[in-house]
Amino acid sequence: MTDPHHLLLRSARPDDLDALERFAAASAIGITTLPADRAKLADRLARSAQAFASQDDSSGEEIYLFVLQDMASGAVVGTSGIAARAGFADRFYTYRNEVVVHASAALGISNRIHTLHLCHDLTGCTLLTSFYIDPAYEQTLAPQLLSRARLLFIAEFADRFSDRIAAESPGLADEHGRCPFWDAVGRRFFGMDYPAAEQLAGGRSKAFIAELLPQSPIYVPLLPEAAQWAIGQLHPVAELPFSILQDEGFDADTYVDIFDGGPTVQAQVAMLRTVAAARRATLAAQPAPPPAAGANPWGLVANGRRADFRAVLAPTAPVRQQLALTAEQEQWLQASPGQALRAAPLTLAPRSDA
Amino acid sequence: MSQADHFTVRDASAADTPALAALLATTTGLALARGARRLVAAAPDGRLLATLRLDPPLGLQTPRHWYRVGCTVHASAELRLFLRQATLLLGNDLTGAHELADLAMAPGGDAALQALVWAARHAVASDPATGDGHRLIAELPGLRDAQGRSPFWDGLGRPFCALDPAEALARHGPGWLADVAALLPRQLLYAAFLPDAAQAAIGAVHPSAQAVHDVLQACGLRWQHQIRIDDGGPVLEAS
Repeated sequence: MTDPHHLLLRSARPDDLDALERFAAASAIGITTLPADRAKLADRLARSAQAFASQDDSSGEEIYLFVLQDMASGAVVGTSGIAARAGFADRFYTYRNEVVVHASAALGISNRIHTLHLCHDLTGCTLLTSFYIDPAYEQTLAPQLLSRARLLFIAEFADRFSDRIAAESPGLADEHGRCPFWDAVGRRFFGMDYPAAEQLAGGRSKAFIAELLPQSPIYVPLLPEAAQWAIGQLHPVAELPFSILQDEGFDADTYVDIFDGGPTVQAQVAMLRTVAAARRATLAAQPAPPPAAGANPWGLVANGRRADFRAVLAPTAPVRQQLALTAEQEQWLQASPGQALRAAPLTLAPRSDA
Repeated sequence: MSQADHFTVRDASAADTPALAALLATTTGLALARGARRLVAAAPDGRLLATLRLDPPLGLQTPRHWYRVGCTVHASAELRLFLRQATLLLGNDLTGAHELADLAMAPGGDAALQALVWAARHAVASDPATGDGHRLIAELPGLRDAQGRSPFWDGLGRPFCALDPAEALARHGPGWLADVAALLPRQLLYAAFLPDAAQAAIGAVHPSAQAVHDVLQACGLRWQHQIRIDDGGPVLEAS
């Protein structure tokens, strides 16, 4: 089992390209927002490096990519990202779930009708993207660090992000990219498979395709059963990252993806568990002794730097002002005693204890 | 010259009831609502060749509903897409129009029915009480299978109203359609979301009504993109 002490989350660097290319190739169609294209990935890494390095005010166009490194082997084992503003310079489309009640007193019938409304509600929200973890690490704390450390970064540099945050998750599709929701909705307006449509759009924002979708609400009872059932359903491969977001307090009931019907979660940043529980702390004068298993619950500890953002897992008590890390972790975080850190517990104590 | 070319046009009288019942293949619903007229065309021997009912402006007490069939084009030069989409919008567009109903004719009675339709058009046009452009409409039955099921209702009615139309008619009377409209979608619908059989039924006339349809068309009534909500049958209009 991987020792959580050996996991390091850090801002991605141009030389992470090989790892990213490996992750993109391992992902099924539409599962991550990583394009399976080396040049495009290199461009992403360059944009990310620029965003981390920039001292300017946020324009909203920035993307931030992180990687997770197992320092025991040095291997990069996962990636995650943030887009500062969803649909930057364009519109970010989602379907919003709504219910209308159709009632006839004379007939004694009242029906709750589920409708989908094409909307731009989430335009300008901060978007969590590009999550991928090496399957060998799925059962460890690694995905927790990989997903949630992003929230510490957002909390630290709040002026670069929206106070509302969202994340897309892939919907139901088979291994050929066949997708019941797309077949019932998008296909009727494009006459092509989802992968083909995605390819035509050429990695541009979905607004390009969304403009061709019906602008009036979709009455869900008119869709075939398979498509109705797919609304808000998650692709099985995305269960892990989705469950982390659910634990954080993201709402999964309001929005679905316009193409595959997968849930698009959203929340107020300040209401997320990691953000709400994050505390400022300082690095203790002495490195931690070898960890006693189970002494304290695991927590996230981030160094609060921008370009060299780093985060690790360490046993933390939520209220303690001084945090002790292993000597190695101090080195990875580029932190010296007295350094300001930001920490958040991974599993939260009940509110009354907080 | 056949006998059917000689006829007189007049209002129906009580004495016509048995012949009307035979012509309309029904014994119920022959009583006239207030303001309605039933016209007949009778041969010299007294045989009824054709009949219709002219109703006063409709939908003024109880709302009447139709779908308006529209068109929207989704075009993208870049994707080489140019798709014409039929749309349906529930509304009461024909409120206030006079209506022709109970149209029927004996074999070879086309000319007689035409004469009745023209008589009705003149009656509407010369009625000083008729506002709203002297509009006259006639609904025609839509497609149904041998069991009387409407593919249009199955596609667009049933998902919103579990009632069986025949049963509903028996239980709630002809007014049930006004009530059922409250259960139907009120926002613009893309016909593409309907099953193929339902799409094919939009504005299609039941074969048994084709002859009446042709007579109405010969009298200048035209389909102006309105259809019935229960079976998708076309509504012909003149103004």
